[in-house]
Amino acid sequence: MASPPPIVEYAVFFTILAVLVFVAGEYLAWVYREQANSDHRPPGYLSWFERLDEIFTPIENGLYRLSGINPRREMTWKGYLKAVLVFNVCIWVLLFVVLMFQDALPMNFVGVGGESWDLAFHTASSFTSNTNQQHYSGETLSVFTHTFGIGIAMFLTPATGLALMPAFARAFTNKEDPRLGNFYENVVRGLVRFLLPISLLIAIILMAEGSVQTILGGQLTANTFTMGIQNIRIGPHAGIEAIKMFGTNGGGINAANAATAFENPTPLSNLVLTLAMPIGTFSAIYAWGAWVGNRSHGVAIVAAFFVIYMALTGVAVVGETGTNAGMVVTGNGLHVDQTVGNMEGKETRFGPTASAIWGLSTTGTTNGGVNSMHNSWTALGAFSLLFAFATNNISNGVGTGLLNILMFVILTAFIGALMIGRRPQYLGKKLEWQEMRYVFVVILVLPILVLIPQAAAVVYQGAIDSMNNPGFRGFSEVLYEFFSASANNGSGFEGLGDGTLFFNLVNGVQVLLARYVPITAQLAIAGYLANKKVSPESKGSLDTDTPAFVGLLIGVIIIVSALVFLPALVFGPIGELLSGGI
Amino acid sequence: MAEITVTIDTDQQKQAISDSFAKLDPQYLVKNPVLFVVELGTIIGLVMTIAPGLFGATGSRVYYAVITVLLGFTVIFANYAEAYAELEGEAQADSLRALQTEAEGKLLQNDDVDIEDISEDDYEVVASTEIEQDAVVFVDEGDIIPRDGTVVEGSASVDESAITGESEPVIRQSGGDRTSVVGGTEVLSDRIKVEVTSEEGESFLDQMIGLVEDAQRQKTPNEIAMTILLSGLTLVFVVAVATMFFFGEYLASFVGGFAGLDVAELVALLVALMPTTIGALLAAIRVAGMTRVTRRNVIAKSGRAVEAAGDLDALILDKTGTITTGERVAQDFHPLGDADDADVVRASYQSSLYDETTEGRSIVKLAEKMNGKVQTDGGQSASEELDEPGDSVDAPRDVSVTLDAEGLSESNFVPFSAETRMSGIDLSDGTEIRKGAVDAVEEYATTVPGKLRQKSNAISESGGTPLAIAVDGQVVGIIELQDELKPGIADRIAEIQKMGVETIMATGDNQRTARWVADQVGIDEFHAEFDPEEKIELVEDIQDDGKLVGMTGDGTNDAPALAKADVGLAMNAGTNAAKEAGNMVDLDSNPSKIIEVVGIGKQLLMTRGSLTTFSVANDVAKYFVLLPAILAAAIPGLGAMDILNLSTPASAVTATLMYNAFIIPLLIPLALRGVDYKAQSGAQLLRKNLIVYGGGGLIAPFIFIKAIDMLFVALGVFQ
Repeated sequence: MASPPPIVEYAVFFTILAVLVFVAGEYLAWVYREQANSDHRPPGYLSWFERLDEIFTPIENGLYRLSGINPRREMTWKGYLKAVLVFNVCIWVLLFVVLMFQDALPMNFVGVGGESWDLAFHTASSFTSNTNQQHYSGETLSVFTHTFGIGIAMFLTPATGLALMPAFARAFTNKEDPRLGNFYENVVRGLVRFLLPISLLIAIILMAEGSVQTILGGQLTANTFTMGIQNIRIGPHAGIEAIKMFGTNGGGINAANAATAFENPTPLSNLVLTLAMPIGTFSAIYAWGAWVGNRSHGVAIVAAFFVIYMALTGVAVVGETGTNAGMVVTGNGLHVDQTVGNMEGKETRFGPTASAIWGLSTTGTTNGGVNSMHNSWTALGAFSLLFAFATNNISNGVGTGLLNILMFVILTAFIGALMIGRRPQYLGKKLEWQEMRYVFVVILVLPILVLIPQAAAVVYQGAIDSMNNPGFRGFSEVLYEFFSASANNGSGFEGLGDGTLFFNLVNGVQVLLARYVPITAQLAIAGYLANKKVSPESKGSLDTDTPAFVGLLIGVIIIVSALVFLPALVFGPIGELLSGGI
Repeated sequence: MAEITVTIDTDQQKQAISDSFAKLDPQYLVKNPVLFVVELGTIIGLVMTIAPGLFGATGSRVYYAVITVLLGFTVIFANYAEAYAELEGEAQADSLRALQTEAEGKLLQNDDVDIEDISEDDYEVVASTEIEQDAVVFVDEGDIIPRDGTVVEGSASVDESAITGESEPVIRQSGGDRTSVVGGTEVLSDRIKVEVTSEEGESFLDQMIGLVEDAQRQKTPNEIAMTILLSGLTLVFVVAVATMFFFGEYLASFVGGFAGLDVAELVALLVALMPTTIGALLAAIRVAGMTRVTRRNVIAKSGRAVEAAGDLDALILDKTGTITTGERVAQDFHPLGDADDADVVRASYQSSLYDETTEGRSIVKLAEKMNGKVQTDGGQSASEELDEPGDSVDAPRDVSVTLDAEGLSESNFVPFSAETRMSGIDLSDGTEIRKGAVDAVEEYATTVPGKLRQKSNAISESGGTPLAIAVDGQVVGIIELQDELKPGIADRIAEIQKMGVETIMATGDNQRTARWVADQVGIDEFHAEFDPEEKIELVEDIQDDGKLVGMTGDGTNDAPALAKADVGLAMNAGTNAAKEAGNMVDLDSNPSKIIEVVGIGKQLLMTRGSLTTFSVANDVAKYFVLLPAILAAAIPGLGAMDILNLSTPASAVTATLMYNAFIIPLLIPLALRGVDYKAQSGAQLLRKNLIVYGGGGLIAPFIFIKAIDMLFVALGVFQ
């Protein structure tokens, strides 16, 4: 069956996404309405959301009683931060113990061994920080580790992210009140109302399409046409895959991730999973508008990020439906038919366009799941992936994404307000040097975490030895790895022997700093702003929902964030592209 | 308003240039991280000029010298911008100081002498500088008040135009709100005793000017936030460019014939990418903004106050003095009984021709204004309809009437007397015209039309004052008087509303008068029968809504509210308590000037924002020029990025650095003048400034750099 033309696939994908972002956005806004101190109500035709309380409230109350959480205990930003850190340390310890001692734990059907300390450090840090960068192959973990280690982390880390959003909304909805809400209540609500039900829905679709789902066995033995007996690892694929995609996680049970048939069996499952990646992050931006009482502002930010997302996806589609320079063989008379595009490292059930759209969905969020070999992408395609990283993964992760995006929005409001002769203010809160200092801390994290280790790695022989293709492409391999860690993405470009002590330690530290330094700075910003008065907006204020604002926002993201990485990109994909080879 | 203009002469130019070198001191420059990094870069350039091969670089000594010189120029131009603005500010302050003329004072030997009885024997004439604080001086008619002080006895009209530029003399008297007098002003009539309140050189004005000078040196809170932003950007670019050196080493390991990146060129790239333009102009923008305020004779005690003015959400305006002049003027003529428009206009005109009161003159003026217009509606007079009084401020009805001043010369003007409560004129033909309060005329007249009461009540209810006018004992009509609006005030209010600032009028007058005035000028909200002591509550109420509020005031009872308000503009003619409480003082004592200050505050912030956008947007072009140039040897294919098609890499680097340095002096005039500001909504302003400064920032460097490169080609350098 021939695939539809690229432009059709592209248009269909973004149209469905836009509709889903709206619905999921209204839903998410409803989930955290009270916690965000907002008087938002869903539009009339979605008011049935409110009836869902009958199902969710008893479950939540049960969980509160079971765990001893008092949702009415409000926290200041410091208390909130402490709760985030304590909760995340618990996840880390759980993961570290399970990973190191999985050989002694049950449900180890195929007899895998424990991870080494440095690999366990990297893996635990990577999954605690919602990064899911894997320096091991998924097959080396037991079903127990996948289910009760990785699986639990995959729910709790996006829930941590979600719980940050209503607290940050309080920065703007509070009137001189330092209370940001209860972190644990927000985690529970995010899990019960958002992550669990939607993941369940996705998992059911995956199972219907043919994904496996079991915790009773470790492998399947198949008789294949060419290779005789093949042992294929099985596990809770459908369930893990659903939250892996929807929770911007990305670490698969199989090394080949969503390219394998058990994780991602059909074009339909591929479409569902591709959509699942950006829904969580973009619906959060939409919900932001609802929480702060200005839906059109939410739509304006969504629009700005859609522009970047769609532009880079367009570049990727052009790159991947074009020819792969490395496959154009001259001399021996053989030639590879590239009329459908660059098929190296891609699944035939998806083709270049769907793989390109997936690629930008995974790097346009902090997801990191892959359905094709990124290292086999063309230079142009690889450039779009790395550029998406440079913007801090466009829409970033569930929860944290909104906060990171708002750093750019605040910076834009700062400059924009000055340009119309007002002292900087965003959503009625004055922006002063105390907040701007922390905004810049967040913005500085990515360049510092990526570029300084990159400079060290490319002159360190041990790291150069890990490259598969020393040269421009090798530079990209390392750059991708550091970006993937420092933007909490987790996907692998591959082609880099990353299971070394050097990469385990460097990447492990990167994922932790990249996650918790911004969270700390952002909660501090929320604390400062929540305590301020609300100044009303007037005709002379900066409108945050106009095309001019969207334009300025895009300009700020490109110049302040992405262009900083332009020199590095020149040594990687741009250099490769313009030199005509790796 | 007297605008003080200051010209910078060549000596001061030289001073500014020498200051720019003095400011190279790293200890001073470290306060501006952007420029400090450029200075460090210059030092690296210098080192490479002396030892070109130091970092394995291969460029020529001349090339490095050129880079070093251009980097040095960048810092010096930046320092010059600051030094020049500071000198202009100082000159402004000096010109304010010069307003206090040297004078002699009559020091009283014994201040118990009654003011009327003071003779030459009672005082000693001394130089003003010799008068000590708390001494009492006598100031006679025609004398210059020697020093700042308080009137302790007497009352006099004082010409304060030397300080305020206002030609109208003001009354200064002991007791109440009008006791303070300023040194250097002249007593026009009467005599007063003044207690000197300041030490020599420490007059109120001196202290204020001192504050202005301090304020010009202090970074404002917004500027601190901006400095953090620029430092953050600088740090980002330092990381981005410093790591390039190592990337270059890596590249050198597999690209033949390439030995690594040139450190001097990397420094050039760093300086080009850093926001040097705005970093250089930040201080000049602040000083110039403050100077623009000073130039309008307003002393701002802090830069924060000026910025806050730009950010005001609400302005509390006093009615009298700000919106109205405090005088009542003729607004309309209403005929009554058998009389028509022409009758009442003629009678009013004639009766007032020799009436020198403001009211009388305004009646003459209005009558003349109405006359001569062609009667279009067939003489249908408004006499029988009770038309809305006061709705015809700008367009008086057309009335055709012969206003004949001749023949009046032999008539007899009857001035106002308290007894009759009327004034008027007895014409030579015996006609007797009288005008006055309605009940007084009613008493005097023999024929009173039934509608007189009804009409006059309607006028009172609309906030006006009715004057009845009678000819030979027959009431012919009513002259409607209303508060006189300050010229152009309605436009100013409309302008400030367009900026998104709410206008609130406070007045002790009754509801009706307040409403009329508010309606006339389009005030958003008014408070009538307002006690000045309630002002503080009003300010607090507005602030509780999160709004920033500005106000003006002159009395001691205004002081708490002036201190509480985000912008408190005190009148120089007011009490010292008010002047100390406010964060700005208007030397002209013109309360409506607060509207101008709002515009200046906005302009200050806008200039900062727009030049930042311009400076940062320049980076796009600089990337496109410098990356291909610097990496020409390493990645020749990168030439595809060189969309300007520049002649040689050295030429590209030099042209970019030249642009980067010379854009600073080119923008100094803009920084000092401020970007153009017209009252507009936020959305319009953003769009406009984004196109001009954002779009301009993207394009300008491409044009300039290409032009410089073409010049180099023509001159044959760097080829």
